[in-house]
Amino acid sequence: MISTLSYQDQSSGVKERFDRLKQRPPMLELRALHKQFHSKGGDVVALQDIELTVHRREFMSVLGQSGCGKSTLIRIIAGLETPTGGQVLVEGNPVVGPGRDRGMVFQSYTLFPWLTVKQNVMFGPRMAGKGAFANDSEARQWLALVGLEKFENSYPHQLSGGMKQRAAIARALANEPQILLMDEPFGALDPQTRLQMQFYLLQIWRNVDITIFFITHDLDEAIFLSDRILVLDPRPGRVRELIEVPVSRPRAHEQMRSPEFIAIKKHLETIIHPEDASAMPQFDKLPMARLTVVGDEVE
Amino acid sequence: MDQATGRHWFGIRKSLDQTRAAMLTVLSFVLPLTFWCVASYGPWWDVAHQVIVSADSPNLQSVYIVGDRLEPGTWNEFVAVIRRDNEEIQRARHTGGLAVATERQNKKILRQIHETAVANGWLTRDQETDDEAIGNVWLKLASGDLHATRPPLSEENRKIVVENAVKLGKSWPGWPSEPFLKLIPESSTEVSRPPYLVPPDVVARSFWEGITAGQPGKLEAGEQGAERKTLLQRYSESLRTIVLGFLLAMLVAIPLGILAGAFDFFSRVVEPFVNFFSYMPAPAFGVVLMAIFGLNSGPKIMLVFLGTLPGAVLMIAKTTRRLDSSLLEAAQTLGANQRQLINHVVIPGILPNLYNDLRLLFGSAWTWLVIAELLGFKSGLSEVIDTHGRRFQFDLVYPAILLIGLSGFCIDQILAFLAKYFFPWMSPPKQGFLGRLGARFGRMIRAAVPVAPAPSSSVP
Repeated sequence: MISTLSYQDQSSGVKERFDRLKQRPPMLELRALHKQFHSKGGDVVALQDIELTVHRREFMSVLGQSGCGKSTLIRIIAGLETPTGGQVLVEGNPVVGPGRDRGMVFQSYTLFPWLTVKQNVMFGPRMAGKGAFANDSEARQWLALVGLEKFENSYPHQLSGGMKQRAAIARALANEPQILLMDEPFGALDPQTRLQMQFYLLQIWRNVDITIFFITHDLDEAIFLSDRILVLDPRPGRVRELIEVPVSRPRAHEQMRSPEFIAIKKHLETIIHPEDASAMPQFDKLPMARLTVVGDEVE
Repeated sequence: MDQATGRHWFGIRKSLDQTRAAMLTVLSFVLPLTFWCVASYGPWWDVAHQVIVSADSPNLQSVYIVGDRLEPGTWNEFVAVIRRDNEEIQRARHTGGLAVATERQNKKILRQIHETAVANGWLTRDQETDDEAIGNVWLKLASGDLHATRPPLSEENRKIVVENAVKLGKSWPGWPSEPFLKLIPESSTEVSRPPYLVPPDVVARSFWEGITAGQPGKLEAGEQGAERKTLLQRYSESLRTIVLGFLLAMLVAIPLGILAGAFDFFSRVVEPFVNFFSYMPAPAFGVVLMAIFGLNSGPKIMLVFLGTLPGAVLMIAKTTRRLDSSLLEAAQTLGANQRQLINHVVIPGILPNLYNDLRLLFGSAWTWLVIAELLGFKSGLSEVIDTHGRRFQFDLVYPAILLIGLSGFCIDQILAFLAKYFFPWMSPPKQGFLGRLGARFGRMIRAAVPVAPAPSSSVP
């Protein structure tokens, strides 16, 4: 059913690593997940028969071109949407709605603009009725983790995009969830900040007992971060492949130039197509337009 | 390039640079004011003579009384006729032909001074035929005990006063048989504008008198019925009506609007009817309100309430719906329950927009005020507008209208300015005209302080 692709001969070390990972208890299970939307043009199947097991402390990414149901999938896991069929299990318990066991980081920085950074971080514990005093030092700890101690009294509008997203991560972690759901969290950041944030995220993941479920459309990002990558096919959203990333940990951005990284990326490029391949112009048959011969022709 | 730096006048959706923007802000007030001035002071209005001192003569076809406005031609003829009368009397004296005047005729001449005497506060209005008192005024005027200041008598008339007083003094308290000289008519020259076109200086003076008056104005003293109040007392009355009506409306509209914006249930139950209700003009319910709440302030407050309420509910519901739903989702994933979503996300999230809504709604509440105050016993500024408007006393109407406009504008600007302190977390603080001024002032002070670090230290 799911073709676990060993696209490359796995060395024994890598194989052992993944065997160990799969022996960990399952944290998140998707069982025959199905989602259908009703629209004017008829019913649209967004997700079809998704089966997946994410293990404890695993870093799982979901890749796919836009419209493949990535966001729907993560929203169902978060409990913000209900599936048409199938089940989401967190540590064996079915999900019926949003809960403290699944923290979420959105692409649009969803920090509460009326609260300071520290107050934002304290939001979850406060909702749970924890005292402000214990809360305060705890919030500082989380802010220290994302490097925002100096900005605890700033308002979100005073922060840069990367800082906002770090604050959002701290806010989600402060609630002590089992799973951190991240819906294209770095999609709105510039490339440099993005790389930095990826590195940060891996550090945080190492230091905190958490399972991460990460959605992206950036191949490099998925490979760099993940243990395993789930590739979805669009319309209807189905599992195309589940890829085990052999790149060794701890990771650094230099590994992006390593052969196994490039091999995985090439493979992903062959299975993930641009959205509208049929509508692309035929580049070799473009008409000549407004060309004057003055010796500045490009090759 | 010009458009990017603000060094331009017309760029589509491009802001002007600060100096130009400030200049145009000033201009937006100066332009209408200029227009008003040109319309009022322009050369196209005829000059008319408003009679201050009158006289009558058998040689005149009509009788002119103080306050009449005469065309320049008529006025000149009027003055000429009176002068001729005086000349005749003097010629008769010179030629020795003893002109004889009846006591009645002489008294009539002396009564010419009555209006001036009233204006100067020497006599009361009903002493018009108190000839003994009037005679005394003439004598005192001549001796210099009394001095006409508003308006001062002309040089010519002062001589006549002295001359007549000499004759009167000889026979006083009896009446001489020799004829008195008539006072030459005096006038102030007025521009005969239409009554609704009151020039800015008159409105400004009237406004200033209105707001500085410690006691009810003189012009209103003759009125019957309603209590007499100063403009400021009336203003506080109006303010009370509008504030109470508005607060009452908000007390209902804010919870209802937030519920309707947050829960589809309340939206479906409340909004269709409120929407329908908002199309029924509130003043149409005026009579009903009077029937229910009597004739005092009750129906007035309720009309402001009724006028503001439907729009407020719809507006606040819309504002609530406009709250970024991802904030709600984020809060949900952080474990907030329904009640916590409302209290900790919806309400703080909409506050700045709600605040701006309230500013707008309070502005629109002023519209209802004028109609409201005419319900039952008229009150407040609208009473001034209505009563004096009917009498064409527009110089009293405009200050009242101006006061409404000014206070609405100022309150709104102050609220806009304060928003910065209420919502420090808003990214570009929403500032009004006043806010920009304040910011500029603040910068000036900050810039000036290091230059002159301790100006107060040198002062003991």
